[in-house]
Amino acid sequence: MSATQVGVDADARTDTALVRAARLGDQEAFRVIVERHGPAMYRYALRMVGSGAESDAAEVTQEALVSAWKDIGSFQGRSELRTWLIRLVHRRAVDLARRRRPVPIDDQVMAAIARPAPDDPLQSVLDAELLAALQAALDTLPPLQRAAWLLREVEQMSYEEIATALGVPLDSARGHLQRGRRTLAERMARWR
Amino acid sequence: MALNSPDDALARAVELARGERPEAWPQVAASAMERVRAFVTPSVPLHAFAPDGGREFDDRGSTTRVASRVVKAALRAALDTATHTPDALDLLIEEGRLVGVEVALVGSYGTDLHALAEEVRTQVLDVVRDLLGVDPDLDDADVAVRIVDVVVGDPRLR
Repeated sequence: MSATQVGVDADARTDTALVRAARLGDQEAFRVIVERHGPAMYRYALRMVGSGAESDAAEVTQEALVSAWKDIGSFQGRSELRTWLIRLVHRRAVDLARRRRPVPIDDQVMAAIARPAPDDPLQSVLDAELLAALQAALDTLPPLQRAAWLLREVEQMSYEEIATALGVPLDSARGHLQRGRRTLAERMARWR
Repeated sequence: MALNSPDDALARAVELARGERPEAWPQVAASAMERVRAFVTPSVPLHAFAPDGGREFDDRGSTTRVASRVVKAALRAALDTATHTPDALDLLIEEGRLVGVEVALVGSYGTDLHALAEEVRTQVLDVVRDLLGVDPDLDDADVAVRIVDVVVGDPRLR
């Protein structure tokens, strides 16, 4: 039998293969996990911790990733890797939200989040305003409603994945989502 | 884009939010990986063996120890091939001496698994002896190999 050692493109690995390697201490495999799922984790953290708290979102995301590295041996593959990682972010984001008081919207931060469209400055401004309005509306939702809405509408997760990520029963996840949708629709009705 | 109804506005906001690529992400990722690299994996020092099978390398009684994480990393790299890849690696250690290695493997479909297990035992001993020298009491009977999964294609990718 020949077991030739041939280099393998880490980016081509499935999540299962990456987790297996990371569990054995392969930092390159973990780096690919970070690149693959980190942007969604960070995006979720930004929206969950609310306006004007980009550094908090960064800290929440980094803590979740370090925790994932330390505890990756406990990931048994019963859920998607993405769901597990989002759950790690969610716990920290909710803890943070409990500890701090609401802060007013920082327009500069919102402008930084909404990447401008260079070919259409007017559209870029409108988009930035729309995203700011969305964030302002999200900030008024209770954390679980906000989380359920973000995971469904932005991250396009299934109801089962949302329930797992939030650590709540399936019916509860559906309920939070419906209430969140209703409230957001009311809040956004003011925006034209 | 004309937004004629609140539903249009919310739909557009969702579309924008889905496409967001936060500009600070590269710095966030770099900081996270820096913290990951700084995290020290638990490890214990293992006795290395001199050519005579003893632990002393010279007349002054010099000894050498190698961190278990170094041995584990070398095993992981050696066993990560197109026909098999490690799923778990456990070093059995007694009083600083490596007394056994347990390997769980994922193999490629179509591979002769009995032959694979034999090959892996040899590979493990080669790596261990390369790093720790030859322990006269450690042989292939101390290397336990389990095939825990078989996948189609290159197991490093699946």
